[in-house]
Amino acid sequence: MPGLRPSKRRHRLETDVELKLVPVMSLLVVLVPMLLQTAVFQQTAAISMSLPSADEVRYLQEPDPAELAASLTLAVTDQGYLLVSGDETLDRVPLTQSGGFDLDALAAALARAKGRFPGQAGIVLLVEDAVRYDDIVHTMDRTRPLFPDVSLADRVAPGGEGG
Amino acid sequence: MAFSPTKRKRRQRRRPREMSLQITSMIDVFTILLVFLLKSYATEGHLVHIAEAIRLPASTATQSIQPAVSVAFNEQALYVDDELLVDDVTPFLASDELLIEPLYRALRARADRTREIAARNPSVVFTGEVVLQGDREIPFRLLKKIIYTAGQAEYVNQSLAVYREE
Repeated sequence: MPGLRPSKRRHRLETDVELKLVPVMSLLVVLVPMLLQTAVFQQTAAISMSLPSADEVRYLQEPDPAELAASLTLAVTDQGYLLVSGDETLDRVPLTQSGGFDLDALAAALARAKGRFPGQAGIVLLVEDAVRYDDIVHTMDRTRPLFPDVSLADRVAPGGEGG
Repeated sequence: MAFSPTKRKRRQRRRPREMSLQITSMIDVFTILLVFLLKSYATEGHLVHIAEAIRLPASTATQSIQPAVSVAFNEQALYVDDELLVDDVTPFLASDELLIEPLYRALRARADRTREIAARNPSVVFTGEVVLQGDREIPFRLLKKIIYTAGQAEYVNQSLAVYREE
C-alpha cells in the first residue's frame, strides 16, 4: 500500500509558477532608451529684464530728486558690495577672506534696507566692468526675494543703460 | 520512509525542461531606471539649445525660457542662434565702443526679417525677445555691450539664460 502512494513532490513542482517576464522586459527595453533620450538632466531658467525701447529715451532724462533719494542702489565692485540710497551709504559688504563676494552678508544688509524702505521693490545694480557674470547672477538671486525689480546699470556712467 | 521512484519512473518524469532566463533581477534594475527617468521627465524638453562651449551660471530663478532669438557668448566667441558670428571677442572687449557691430547687423537683419513676415502674416508679431546665454566666466563689460547692442537692434525684451539650481 505505501508503495502506491503518489509522491507529494510532484504537486509542489506544479505550484512553482514562473512569471512570464519576457514581455515586460521588452517593454522596459523600449521605454528606458526612449526616456533616456528625452531626459533633461539640467533644467534651464530665465531671468528676464527689459530695456526701454530705442524710441523711449526715458533714461536720458534727469531723474526726479525725490525719486532718487528713495531709490536703492547696490554697487558691485572688486572691493565688495556697497548699498546706497540716494547720497547715503547704507551698508558696506567687503569681500570674504577667500576673495569671493559675501552673499550671506549681502542678504543681511538687504534685509536691513528692506526694513527701512518696506515699500521699495526696485533696486539698481551698478556693476563694475571686471565683475564675473556668475557673481552678478548670484547677487541678483539674493536681491530678488526682497527687491523683485532688479535692474542692471553700468557703474562708470550711471544711467547709461538699464536692464 | 520515502519511496524512491524506480529508475524507469525517474526517466519518464524527466521532460524536456523549458529554458528560461533569470531576468527577475534585470527587471528590478530596469524598473528603478524607469521610475527615475519618469521622475526627471520633462515634457518641455530643450526649448533652447545651449551651446556646449557655454557653461551658464546657476541661479534660483524659476521662470522658464521662452523660445526666442538666442545670443550665446563666452570669453572667445559670440554665436547668434547657434551660428558662429565672432570667433574672437577680445577686440570688442578692449574697445570703448559699446556697440558690437557684427552682432548689431545680425540682430538687425533678424528684426527686419521678422517685421517683414509680420507685415504679411498677422499671427507673427515682433516681440523683441532675445535670450542671452552667457558663460559664467565672462566679465560684465562684455555682457553690458551685448545688452546695449541688442537694445539698439530693438531686442528690448531680454532674458538671461541660467541653469536652475535645485
